[in-house]
Amino acid sequence: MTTYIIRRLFTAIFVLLSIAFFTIALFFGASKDPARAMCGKPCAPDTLAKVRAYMQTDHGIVWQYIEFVKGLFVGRSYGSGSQAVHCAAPCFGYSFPNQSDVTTLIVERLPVTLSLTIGAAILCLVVGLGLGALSAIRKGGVLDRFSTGFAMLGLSVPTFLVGLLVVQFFGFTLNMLPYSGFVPLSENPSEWLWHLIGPWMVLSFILAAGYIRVTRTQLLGELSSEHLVAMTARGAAPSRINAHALRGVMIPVVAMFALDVAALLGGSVIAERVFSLHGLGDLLLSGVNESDLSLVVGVTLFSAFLIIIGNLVADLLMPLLDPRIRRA
Amino acid sequence: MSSLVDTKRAEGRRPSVFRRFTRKRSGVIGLIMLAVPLVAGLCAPLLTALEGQDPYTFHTELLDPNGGRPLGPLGGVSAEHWLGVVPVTGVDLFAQIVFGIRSSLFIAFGASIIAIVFAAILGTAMGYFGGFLNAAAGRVIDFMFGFPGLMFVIAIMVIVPPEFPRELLLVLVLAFFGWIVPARIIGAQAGAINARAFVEAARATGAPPWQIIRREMLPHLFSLVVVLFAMALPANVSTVAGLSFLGVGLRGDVPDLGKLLADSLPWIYSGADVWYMFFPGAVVFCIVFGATLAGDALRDVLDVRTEDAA
Repeated sequence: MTTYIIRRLFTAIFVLLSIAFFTIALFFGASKDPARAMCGKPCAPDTLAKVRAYMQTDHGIVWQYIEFVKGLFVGRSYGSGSQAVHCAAPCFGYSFPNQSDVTTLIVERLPVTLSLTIGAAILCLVVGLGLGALSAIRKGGVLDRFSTGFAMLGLSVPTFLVGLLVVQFFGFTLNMLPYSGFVPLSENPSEWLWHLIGPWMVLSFILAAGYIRVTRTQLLGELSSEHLVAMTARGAAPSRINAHALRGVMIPVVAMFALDVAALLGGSVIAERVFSLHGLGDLLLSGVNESDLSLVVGVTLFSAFLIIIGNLVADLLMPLLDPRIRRA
Repeated sequence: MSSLVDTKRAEGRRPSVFRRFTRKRSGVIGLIMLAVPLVAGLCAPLLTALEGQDPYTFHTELLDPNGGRPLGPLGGVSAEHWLGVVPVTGVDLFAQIVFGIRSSLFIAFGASIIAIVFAAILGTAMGYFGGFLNAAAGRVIDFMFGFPGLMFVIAIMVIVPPEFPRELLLVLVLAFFGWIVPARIIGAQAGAINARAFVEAARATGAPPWQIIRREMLPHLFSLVVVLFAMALPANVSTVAGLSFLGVGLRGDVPDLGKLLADSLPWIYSGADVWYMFFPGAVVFCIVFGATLAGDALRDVLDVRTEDAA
């Protein structure tokens, strides 16, 4: 058990470090010079060299990588003297066009992304587990057919299309929901909720599909498994049988949920674009539009880290749910 | 009537894959939903010639001078402009859509084929050789799973110089992220086949590895590969459209479904022209949902399981 945890932990750290290296090598190694963009036009060669030194892009990739990893733990400083800027730990790089460290920019966007994530995660879990379980219990019934179709739509239809339809239908035709913008929870809780219902519906519709399918397949498998058939034969109460069946369902669902939440926290680029929400996905897009390499690398790595942490959480929860892993 | 056919069939061979597929209503509906836009895309120059329009000419005379929304019902649908015109520019929407289908499907096909062929080669090798190769490829796959795929694809668009052809770039980037899950599924399946008696028997007769892979293993993996391709296609169509929607897809004035939808956003916000979103949206829906329905039916017909190994 302890070996299992230690091994998972080490794997996660290894993957984190290699993804960071790969990303930095790819972006700072293969890209057009970010210093040239900052230097402006016309750009004298000696000014360019100064800007490069200031942005610290005049070093090799390995050096940049080590600085980045160091910056995550102890912070990092750019330039010297009166021009120096300090990026406190955990430093995900410094965005020169925004004159701010990437961590601050990410933290600024977190309220939007967190609000989006929490609601969408809860809603998709409720809808996914509920519809999946109901359709497994009444297999072949009307509800089963409905939820199978619902899942198929959610799995295939692109997010932006669902988003556009929600904006059009609930926002404009019915005029029920606001179709863009964000109101902080601390400012006005009811407006906060009101503005997020649309994005929540869209994201949970897309995400619930996976849970419906997994819950249904898994529950059908569990209910026909020998130990549950034996329980039924002994005349156990349905609630007790369901409790046992649920355990088998929870294992894949927890793994999926941890990853989905991590991915949502990393920013849902398309939903944010449709509803004009300024979350992490929008931050990435603004970095792309301004060719702000540090920002792009910082946000990408931040969401890669979240995914790996989500994976790790799932791995660590698994032994609690599944005694077979505990014993191995 | 159909029961008569069935009993006859039951005595003889199993009906062909095509026959079994056509019996699945959802699969046939899906195939039609996919085929109509596909044919329209392939015949795009012919269809626009028939309509007498092209995707680039501005028809400002068809627009409301105040605000630029198309005049007439359904976004300016008429005998000359079958699906109306685009607001502000007055470009023919039908021509834009059929040429847009072309580029989307071309990119999605290219990316899916590269990804699945690579996954099939790697997966088969993982299954056949097992051991170190399987472990190493498994680690690489674990590593790739850590990537936030869509974010990474968006990010890559910044560093690639604008001279690099965007179509090719999209194909390569989508293929790069598309092989991971299929390779894992094919690898697991190939490993299971590799452990079966007939492969063991072939090995005992001294057949060379290449022959075992080609004669014994690949025929058993073929259905799985076809189904994985059928599942990758709609996913890639949707990603291509999504990237264009975000403004990081195709560039310039190349007709593109995702770009049309992105441009339609302000017209939905203001409620001025719903049809600008509706027509391209319906086409994207038909392609993606149709391909998914057809792929799902194909999976049932070929009796392939894709969930276990993922």
